[in-house]
Amino acid sequence: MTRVENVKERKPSPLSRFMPDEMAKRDGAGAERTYVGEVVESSTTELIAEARELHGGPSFGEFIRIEADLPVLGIIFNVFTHSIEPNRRPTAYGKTEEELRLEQPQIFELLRTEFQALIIGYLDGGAPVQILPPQPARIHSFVHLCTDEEVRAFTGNDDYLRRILNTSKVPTDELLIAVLRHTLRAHEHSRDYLVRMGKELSRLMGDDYDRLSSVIRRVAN
Amino acid sequence: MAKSKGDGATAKTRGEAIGVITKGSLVEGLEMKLDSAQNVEDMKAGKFVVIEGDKNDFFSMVTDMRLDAKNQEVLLHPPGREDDILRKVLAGTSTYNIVSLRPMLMMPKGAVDDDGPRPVKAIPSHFSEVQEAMEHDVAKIFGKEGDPEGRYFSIGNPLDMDTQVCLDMIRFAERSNGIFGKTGTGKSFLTRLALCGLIHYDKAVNLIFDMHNEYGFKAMKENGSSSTFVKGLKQLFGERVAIFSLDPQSTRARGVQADHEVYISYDQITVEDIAPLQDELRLNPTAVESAYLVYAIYKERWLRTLLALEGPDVEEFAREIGAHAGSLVALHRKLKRLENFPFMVSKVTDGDVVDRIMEYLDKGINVVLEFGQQTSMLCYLLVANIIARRIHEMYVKKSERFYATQRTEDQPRQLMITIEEAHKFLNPTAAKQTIFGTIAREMRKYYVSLLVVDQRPSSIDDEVLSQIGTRITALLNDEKDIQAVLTGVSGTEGLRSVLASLDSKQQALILGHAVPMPVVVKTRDYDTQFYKDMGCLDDLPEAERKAKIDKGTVALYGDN
Amino acid sequence: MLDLYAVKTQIDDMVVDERRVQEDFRAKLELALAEYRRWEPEWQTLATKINKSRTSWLLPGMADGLGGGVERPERPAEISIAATDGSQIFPDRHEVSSCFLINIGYILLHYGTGEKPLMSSKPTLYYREEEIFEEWGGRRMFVNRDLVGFKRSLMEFTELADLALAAKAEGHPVVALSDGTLILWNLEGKPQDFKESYLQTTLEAMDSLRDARIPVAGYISQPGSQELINALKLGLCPLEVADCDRCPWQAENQLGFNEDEIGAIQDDLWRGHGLPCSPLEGLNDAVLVSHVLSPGQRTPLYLSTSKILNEYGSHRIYYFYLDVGAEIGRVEIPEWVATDPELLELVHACMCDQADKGQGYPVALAEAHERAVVRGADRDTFYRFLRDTFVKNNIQTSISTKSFKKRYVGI
Repeated sequence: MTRVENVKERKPSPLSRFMPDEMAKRDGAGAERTYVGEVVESSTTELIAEARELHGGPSFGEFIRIEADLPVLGIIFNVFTHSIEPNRRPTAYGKTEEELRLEQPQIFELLRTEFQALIIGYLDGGAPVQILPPQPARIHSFVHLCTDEEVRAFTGNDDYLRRILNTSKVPTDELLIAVLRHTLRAHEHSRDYLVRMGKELSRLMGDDYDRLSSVIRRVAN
Repeated sequence: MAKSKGDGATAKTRGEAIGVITKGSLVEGLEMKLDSAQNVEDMKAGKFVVIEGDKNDFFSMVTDMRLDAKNQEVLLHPPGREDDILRKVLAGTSTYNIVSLRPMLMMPKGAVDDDGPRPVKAIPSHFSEVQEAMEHDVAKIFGKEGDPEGRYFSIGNPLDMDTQVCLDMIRFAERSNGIFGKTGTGKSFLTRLALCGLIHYDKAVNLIFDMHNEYGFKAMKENGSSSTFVKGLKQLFGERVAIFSLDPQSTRARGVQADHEVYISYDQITVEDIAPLQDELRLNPTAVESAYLVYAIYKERWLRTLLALEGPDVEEFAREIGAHAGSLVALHRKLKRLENFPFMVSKVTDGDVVDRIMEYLDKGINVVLEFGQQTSMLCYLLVANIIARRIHEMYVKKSERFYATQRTEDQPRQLMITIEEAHKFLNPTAAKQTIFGTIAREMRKYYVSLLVVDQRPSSIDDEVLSQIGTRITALLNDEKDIQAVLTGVSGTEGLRSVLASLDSKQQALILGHAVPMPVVVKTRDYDTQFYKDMGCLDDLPEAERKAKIDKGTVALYGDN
Repeated sequence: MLDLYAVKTQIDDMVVDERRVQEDFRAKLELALAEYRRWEPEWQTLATKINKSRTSWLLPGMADGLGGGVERPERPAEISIAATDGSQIFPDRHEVSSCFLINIGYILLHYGTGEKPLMSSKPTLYYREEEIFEEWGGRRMFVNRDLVGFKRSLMEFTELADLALAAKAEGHPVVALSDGTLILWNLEGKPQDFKESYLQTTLEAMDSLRDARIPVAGYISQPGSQELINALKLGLCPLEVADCDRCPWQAENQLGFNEDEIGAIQDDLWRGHGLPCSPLEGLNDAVLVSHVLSPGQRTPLYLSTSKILNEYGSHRIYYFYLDVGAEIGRVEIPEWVATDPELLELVHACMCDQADKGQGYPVALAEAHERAVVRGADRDTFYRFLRDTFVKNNIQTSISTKSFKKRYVGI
């Protein structure tokens, strides 16, 4: 991947005339960009974004921020890679990825990594707000990974857990575990934090002790 | 009541919040849900907490705790040992702890000093916060050592706190008091502590019947396997303590010169002195009646006359005086045992020992009567009875004179008599016969009160028990004993569990007249620091010590 | 209700017929193979006959033999393949505008370096007056499907040349692949000025490729060409110098023969043999070659004798058949590739490799097609968008086309 980027930084390229518009653009000014994706479908409660790089999407459960006046915050609940051509399916080649990159380079151009995020809040003047944003993220806006600091600020209280538990989109517990693991890392693996969130979960999950213990165990180890 | 030192202290801090009140009643006490961050193991029975109500602070004691769970599932599949995080998560959510509290006193918020703690007549509202008691909370209730009146004597610290719990020594001296606890829980230590307080603050003069030679000079400190010696009252207070000994040899053997040797002549023993010995001597009631018959004829010489008789003469003597021969023979045989006591003499040469004791007491010198090797209960009962009875008689006379003249100089010094194995004197039968029963019932009318030391409070007469003002109780296991100690105290349900769960060493529940509320203390260390606090001069340089002693002597004896 | 019994008898009949056809075909093929083997060592004799004869069918020029396979050479580890393809939305008079669109797909695949491939397409919309009306042969005409097709083919080739040149300029060793034939036979019969203009553009692109030494090849999948078969047919002709126009086996040509000769010929015809060359009728080169080559092998080079090539100058087109495993393909190359062994080998190797990667069809061309293709749905979307935009801008037919174009590109 990086190797490709390096070659493409040469400019002006005689080939640029043949390049897709966005690729030509990215070739120039976009070289220092740090975004991980671009929004391609957006609603108040969730969005879909295309990863900048194939297989370069954020991880399951990671926190993302979408550039806007009121930056929207979300957590990744699904990452998927698929063919961009509806009538062409990837087939098995029996080769390693390295071999494929050398001898079947075109197939990687036909795949896109996309990710879906659950909207959990937004930033107002830099301050986290645990409420769905008044306006959804805009199509084509860039998606960034949240810094640890942003994650810490947003996850100081338990509202985000409630949001996750209230969604029916995904295997909620799995998402919960993934998110908590990311959050915990941002909180420097503080056991106190985990215990505090665990208590909130206990409250939110009501009587479901089995579920709670399974979640806590898997987050902790 | 208690004066808080510095008004700023109250405003400054509140203790750490440990939970909130969830339910309860005035009668049954309150329940607190323990904050999940708190460890239930820190909530010891007897711990002292403050409930912050809307209008009042409620000073309360932890009496019980309970583990609870919202969901039976948790209990069926408890988290494993290694699931530390899960345990912590469950703590306070699915599993939680309920702590029972007994409110003991309430204090209106923002009350000024005089408007001190009052008995509890209200309970705090739902979710009132419960805080750990702070030093100033404790001081507000129990006062602080070093007040100008010399009223407060620190007896120890509340559980898990580093602050003083003080006895109000004036109130302590006013009434009879009890020190209870099963064997080996430090009764004599507590007694010594209380006596030190009384002597140091000079709130009462003491007469101590020291059955086991524990108070006068040096005493063994029970310290597990090894034993060390601690200072006795004589060592701590010097001239203000006099040691009388029934067994001067034994006293000397322990390296002490007794201030006075005690001898008792047969003429000094009355029938009333014999009557309480029924149990020990296994006398039947007719034997006592026979004794009265002898007394009727020979008056104070009755015992001497009786004992002078030899075997066969007794029956004839019985016929002469019209007594039942069998009983008199039995009486004679039993009383013969008295002749074996070395302190029994036919005639005292060195003046009446009771007069000497009274002399000392009048001067405010505390008297420790050591029994030396004479550790039989018979001896103890007999001697204590004889002496106490006569001292009491004198006090009655002195008091009556004072009531007549109403002159301050005639006011007798408050006397406190310390007796051990008190149930022997104060069991329901004996209490009616011994002088101690009388003293206990009379209350302070004649300026005499008791310090009762006993391991079986249940054997003590209820009426006597109910007159005991302050009870200092170490661990008790027997349900009857616990019940007895708590006789006449409201809200005993909670205290019962507290009492049964005390440590066997250095812990005591104090309740009654001298403390505003029951409190569990870790008793004060009886160590060098204590000696110093009690004004012991041993560690001072020679000259300085001498000067102080002279000064003390002048103060004590006046200029004569 | 279907009468299965009746169907069954008919199926039986059909199978009998089918078998007869197949047996017939096999016989023909065996004959062709026998002929092929017969002429293989004597190809020069056949070549001479080809040169001398005048046939109604296209014959191959032979430079280095008739038969025999050339083994697949090894492909250089690092090579780039450039390919283009095009498609279009034809002008539609029923639509709001008579504009048309050509979409060119560009593929530049880099092998052996891991470099990111270029895969793109660029649409161009033609809508100006001078774009939708052209004047050829003195006749001004509305651009019809035919013309759009030519325009697209021409663009495919010129864009391929440009793409390959740009790649070369960036330092990539490159081979250019074109979809379909390099022989512009369909220019025959077009107005002279049109033909010349078209040819000139093509040949200029050829020139630049030749100058940059970029081999270019056209690939024809499932070729129907029969040039080799035609050569064998010529070989069957008893005449020393064949002239189909005067074929004695054709009744209209029998005027000049004597009785005996005609009797023999007619006897043959009567016995169902047809013309001497007719036993090979119905075969094509691919079928023949498929029995001769093994996968990876190619035939010798043949020179196309298509008439249009007379105007190709130094870019005359050679071809060979290639067994890519899944099929026999026909590869066409200009003379300067055919005569340069290095470039020839490169084309041979890359073609095999491309077919391998594309499961029988050169992958670069397949991808180029995918990029270029304008599907029915795309076409519908295009027109809907066009109509919407017109309505929104309150335009009847004359348009502020600049903004229109912009908006289209940026979806």
